[in-house]
Amino acid sequence: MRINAPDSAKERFEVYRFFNGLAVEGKEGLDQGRTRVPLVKTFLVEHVSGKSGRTPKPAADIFRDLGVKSGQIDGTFFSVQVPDEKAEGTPKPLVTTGFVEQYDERFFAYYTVEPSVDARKLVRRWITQSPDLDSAWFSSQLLQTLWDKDVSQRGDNRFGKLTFKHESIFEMPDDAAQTNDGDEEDEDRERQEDDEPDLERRKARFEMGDRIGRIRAALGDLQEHYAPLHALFSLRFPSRMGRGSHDLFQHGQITNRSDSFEDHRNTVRYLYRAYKSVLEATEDVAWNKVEPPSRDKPVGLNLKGVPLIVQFKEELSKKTFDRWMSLAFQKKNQFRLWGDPVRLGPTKIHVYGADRHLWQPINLELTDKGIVAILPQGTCGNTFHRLVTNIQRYVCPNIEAWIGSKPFQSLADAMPSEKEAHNEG
Amino acid sequence: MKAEALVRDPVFQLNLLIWMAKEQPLKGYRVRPLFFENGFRLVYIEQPFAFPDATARAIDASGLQIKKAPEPETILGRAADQRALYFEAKANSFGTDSSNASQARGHLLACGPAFAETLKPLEEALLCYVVPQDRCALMAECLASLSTELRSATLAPGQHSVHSLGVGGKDLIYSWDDKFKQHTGVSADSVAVLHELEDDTDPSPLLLVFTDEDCPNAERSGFYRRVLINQVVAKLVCDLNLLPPEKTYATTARDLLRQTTDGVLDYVGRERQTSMIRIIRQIIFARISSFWREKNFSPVELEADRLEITFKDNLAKSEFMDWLEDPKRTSFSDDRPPIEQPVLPGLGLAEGGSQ
Repeated sequence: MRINAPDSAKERFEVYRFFNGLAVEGKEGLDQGRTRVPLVKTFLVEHVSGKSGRTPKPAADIFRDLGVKSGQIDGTFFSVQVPDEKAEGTPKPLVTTGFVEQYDERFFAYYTVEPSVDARKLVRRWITQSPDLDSAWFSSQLLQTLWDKDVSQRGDNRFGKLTFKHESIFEMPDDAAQTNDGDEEDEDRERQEDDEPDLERRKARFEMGDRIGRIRAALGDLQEHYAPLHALFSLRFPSRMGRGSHDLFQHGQITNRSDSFEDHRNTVRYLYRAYKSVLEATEDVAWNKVEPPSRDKPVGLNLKGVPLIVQFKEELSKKTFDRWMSLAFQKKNQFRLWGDPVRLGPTKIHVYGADRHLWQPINLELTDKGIVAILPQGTCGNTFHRLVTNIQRYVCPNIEAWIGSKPFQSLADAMPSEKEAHNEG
Repeated sequence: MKAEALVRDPVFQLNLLIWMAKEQPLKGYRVRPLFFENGFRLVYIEQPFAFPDATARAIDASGLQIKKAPEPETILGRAADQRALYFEAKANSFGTDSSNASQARGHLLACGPAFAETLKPLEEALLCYVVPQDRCALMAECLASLSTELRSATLAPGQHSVHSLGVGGKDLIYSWDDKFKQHTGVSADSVAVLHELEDDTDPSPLLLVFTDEDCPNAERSGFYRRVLINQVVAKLVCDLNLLPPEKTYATTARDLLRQTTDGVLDYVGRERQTSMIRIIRQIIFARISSFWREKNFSPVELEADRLEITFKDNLAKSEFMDWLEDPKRTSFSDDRPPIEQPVLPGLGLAEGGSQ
């Protein structure tokens, strides 16, 4: 069901009120066990040229290049209009699908009430088509830290929900592994699978919805005994305001299940600050906090940077490794890597290649036991987070990772506490 | 075993040393970061050492064969006590009458009082020669003789140390002598720097320093050039994917190398710079230019050293990128291009050995 967003809002509060109205209606629907109107959802999108050596592009230019008509509402808030794919005839009429708020020069939030599948498709199209945009990647490691440090402390009797997704796609025959980017077809695929022959491979999807205290008591043991439970895919944040919650997904989507848009926006802003601090810590560790060389001429950047090292807790079979290698560098693969792999052994390759998504160089060592990645200085740290996310989702759910000598998970130590983040505004 | 051949390969040796100075986790490291753990950080890579005036004059007056701008593989420094490690890696030991002896005399003098004069605030350097395990004794003997010879010519050599690389079981072992222990405070005699070596797998970590040299392993002599080419093509692929239609992208071989080796190009000797640049021009630029010359509306212009690419529209861009992104179609050669060939890109040299 499409709800038309206001297409001529004069001020952003008109939009907030619209979302609030929907939120109340949506929450009522949820309380009665049904979704009457689509839920408000937000996609946290990173504007990568803000950080890299590239000239930063104004937001309006990026969206214009994507065929989006934007209607400025105030200095950091604009409406998004795209051709209505569902309408008949040409040219297709424009329809307001949502609103973008620019949080800073690097991050945007796209607020929408489009159905999840359509909204994901649109955002995915934007980030695929524009080398300047990427999703905020909440890797399983980061979600786990958010659970440990925040959600698990929000009250034992409140309801929480964690979902886990791991699919060893490289254990499958090539054609079956050759899906495109994962999520967008996920739901459709799940529906179709009932009618399809089931391929024998590791494929785990779990949902744990329970009181937070119970989840906390059980999770550690469960994870120890079953590796896919390290592949955290989404995490529910109980609302600070009262009943209801907000669901955070790995690809930076946050869905409002509370009755307040302001509470939703505050949660999004909290998660944006958390993500941003982790990304900045990644970049600091990866490049900047390196002692300067003793003379004016710096020693090469690759030499200054530190590697991302990932160890798989379970070794890959030779067959799986080979399939991963034959697919990871193809255009449509989840890993979105480009390069000409050089084989150094039956289960070891080196690639001096590129991240297809942001078009920045990356050097990789891939083996059956883990990976080593080196990014040139000044490139966006998001690539590391996307890589770790995809490894846990599609290759090996239980990993240990470091940037330089720092455990990957400890990057989240830089995260402001939930209280601090809210106080900031 | 591949590792046994590799310990004699200067490119492998140099990269291993740099990895040993790179920050990595205590558990889970790629190469045991022995130098990093002991507080040493990279200062220079392949930077010729400049002698202070007094030393340079003394060298001239000595009548000995001494290299005037010796180029160590790398120099590491430790801020806490301003001690430095000055590395030279060799595939073999050599005698006092070998041509390598002139370079060794230069290194010995660079690590004497001249070191602090040139590289203050670093104060005291230890010259470390890295050789395969079975060559240690001979190497130490040669360095001792050269030091005596320098002293008798009233020159002031510094302290030296001999380190070795060897295979022990499934590990690659790095060992050193007492001089190194005294200088650094390290108490062990050796550490395993790489683990789980396999007969069928090359144990090299990712290359951090690039080169146009032949790989000593005859089966894959072009390996290092392949890496250099891939690295530069990756940069081109990135830059061109970000190029909007009707805008011109212009670059030179030197610029691309500077960006992909991140400035190290400026550090390496002139000869090596020229030959790395030649590879980019003769293999990559010439191949791109000659392939597209035949097409209608070629997006490529190659003028002297300058490569220019302009896509007239998105279709032209995707046609070009489909080609550039497909290693089978570009098939850049990793053979060493002939030096005799005049470096005049755009004047038909693509028909030579570069396809």
